[in-house]
Amino acid sequence: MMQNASGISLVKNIRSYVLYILLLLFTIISLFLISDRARFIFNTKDRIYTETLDRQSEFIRNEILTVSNFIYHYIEWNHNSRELFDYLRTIRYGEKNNGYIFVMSYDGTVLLNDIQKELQGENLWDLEDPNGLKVIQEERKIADNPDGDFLHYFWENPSTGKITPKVSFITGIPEMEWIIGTGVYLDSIEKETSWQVKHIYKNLIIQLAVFLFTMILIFLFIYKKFKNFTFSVSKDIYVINECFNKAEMDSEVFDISRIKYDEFSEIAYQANEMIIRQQRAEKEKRFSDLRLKLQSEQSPLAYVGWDLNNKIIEWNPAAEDMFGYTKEEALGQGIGLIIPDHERIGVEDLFYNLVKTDNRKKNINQNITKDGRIITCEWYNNNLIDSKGDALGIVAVGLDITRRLKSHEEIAQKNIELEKSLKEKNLLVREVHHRVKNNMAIISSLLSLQSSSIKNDYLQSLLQSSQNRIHSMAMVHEHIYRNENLHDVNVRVYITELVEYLMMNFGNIESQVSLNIDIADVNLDLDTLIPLGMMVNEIISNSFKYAFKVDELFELSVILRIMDEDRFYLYIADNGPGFNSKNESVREGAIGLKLIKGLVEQIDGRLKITAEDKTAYEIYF
Amino acid sequence: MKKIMVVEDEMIIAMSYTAELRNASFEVPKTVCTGEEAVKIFSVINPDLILMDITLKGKIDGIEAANQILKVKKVPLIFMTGNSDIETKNRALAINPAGYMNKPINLNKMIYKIKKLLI
Repeated sequence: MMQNASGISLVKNIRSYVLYILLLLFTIISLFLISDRARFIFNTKDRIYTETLDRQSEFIRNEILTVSNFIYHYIEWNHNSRELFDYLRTIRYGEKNNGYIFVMSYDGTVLLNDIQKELQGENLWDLEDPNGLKVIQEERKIADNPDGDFLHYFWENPSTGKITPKVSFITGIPEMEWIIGTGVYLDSIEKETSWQVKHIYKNLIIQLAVFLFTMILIFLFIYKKFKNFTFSVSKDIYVINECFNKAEMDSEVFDISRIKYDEFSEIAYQANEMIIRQQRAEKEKRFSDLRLKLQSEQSPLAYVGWDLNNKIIEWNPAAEDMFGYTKEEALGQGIGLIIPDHERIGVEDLFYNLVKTDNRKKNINQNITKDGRIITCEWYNNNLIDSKGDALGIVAVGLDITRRLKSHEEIAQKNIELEKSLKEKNLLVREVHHRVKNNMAIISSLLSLQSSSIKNDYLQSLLQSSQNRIHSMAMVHEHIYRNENLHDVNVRVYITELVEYLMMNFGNIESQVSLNIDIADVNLDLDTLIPLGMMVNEIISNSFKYAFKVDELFELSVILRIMDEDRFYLYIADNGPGFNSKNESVREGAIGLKLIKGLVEQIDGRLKITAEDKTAYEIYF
Repeated sequence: MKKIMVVEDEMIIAMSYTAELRNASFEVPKTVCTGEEAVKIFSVINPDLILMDITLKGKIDGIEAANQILKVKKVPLIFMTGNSDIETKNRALAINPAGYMNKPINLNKMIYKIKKLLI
């Protein structure tokens, strides 16, 4: 995972800035609402005027009604009008305390006007305002209205001395035939309305200023923040860009600690991983290139590169040595430079197949050297492809096997000679065995001839024994001669034949012998088989000689078993009398038993003879 | 008395055969060493049985000599050979002999076979 991350998230920052923008929108909307309120106030300027007028009118009406009630009550108990006037003269109202009560008689004489004192005592019955309204007469008309009423007319404003519109509430006091009233000057109402509007203006301006100021502050805040943000992003991008440039130029990894935002750090981290992989790949490629170059330059094998037009593009020193052309001479040359005409079609087909279908192929073909020699080369051809899998050409690595082939031919010839020699040797060995066997047959025949001229049975028996011994040996040579294998003989076949021979030789006694023969199917060499054959010959000959009786069934067992890998067990027994019989001395003293003991010793064996109800020979060897 | 012709180039062996045959009451008028001589003398001796060694001195072997003899007259013939390779054996059996014995010859067995053939 990424290391040295700053812990500041670009996404979180963007989220914050969205919040700022929302705040700005909120401010704008608020401002809009305030301005909308101001516009409402401006639109109701007339309404304020009317409201003020109504309020003032209502005020003066109440004032007059209060005063009239007071007058009614007063005159009910006291008819002194002077005291009443004194009291009415003191009545003042309004913010500037300039409101007053005026009293006139029904005939239009001013009875009380404390503000315009010069009018007191004057009859104003015919007084007209600038619009021609007979003011007093209108007031007289209203005095007859028990509820009173308002009268709009022009009158000199004592505050300004100007004739201005005025509204008064008039009522009559019939008992006194008085007209009482009070009024307000409309210019003062306009003035108050203007003041109120001005006040609202002032407030609006203040609010606007506050909002503007707040907005400016928010803007500045957001601007500052956004500027910092964009600066940081730009810086990170600059760092990454710089790192990429460095990576491209120097293959250096990025310093992630210089990057502020996690997202850019992650990008940088991944880029670093990519750079590390690229560095490793470049290192391997450099190593591979170097190795290839070294192999090519130092290899005893010829490296020949071919482009797709079968022109030579690679030619190493071994190729120079092999073909005699320098690299400068070979590069750019066609296939005919080193391929003789009779091989040309085959090699062109090979190259075509390599490029189209096969990736690699080994072939052996003849080549021609600069000095015209024809050599035989073994080529390991590989298809060259780029990273997209497009074929670029072929690289053929070749070895001059001319000498090797010659050596192979020589070795093959020698092998043939050796085989011939071995056959001759085997033939000779076989012939030796043949001759040994024949010579033994001659010796046997000599003994037979000798035997035929002797009348003494004992001497004949001795000669017959010798013949049998010779025969048992001759049979081994016979088997060797007949075998494919010249080293050993199958003991089962040999002993079976030997037993049959002995039975036949003793006088065709097969019908009187119950033979139990069980010989292991194993091969033994001559050193073992000849003594073994002679032992079997002696034991069985002795059996026939001393134990066989014409009128009894003769039981003979010959068993050979394998005890373990190299050890055997031979068991030969007959049902003849044991050594404690009358023949004991004969059998004990016979040369046969001496021979048996000697032969057992020769094959490193142990002999055990038992002679109770039957005579048994057990030999472990 | 039955006449037996012995064809054997090893004279000691031939003599042992002869002695054994005579002991068994057979007449052995002639022992010859070559195939050519056997073919030549066969008509003169007119034997009842021939003991024929295969490997003989001379230009023709025992099989060829037997072949020529049997063309003249069908007579029991026993091959006795120390050269017991398959090819030789097949050649010998091809002329349908009365017997085929490998050397060393068990003389008792030989006499036993001859007696069975002639008596």
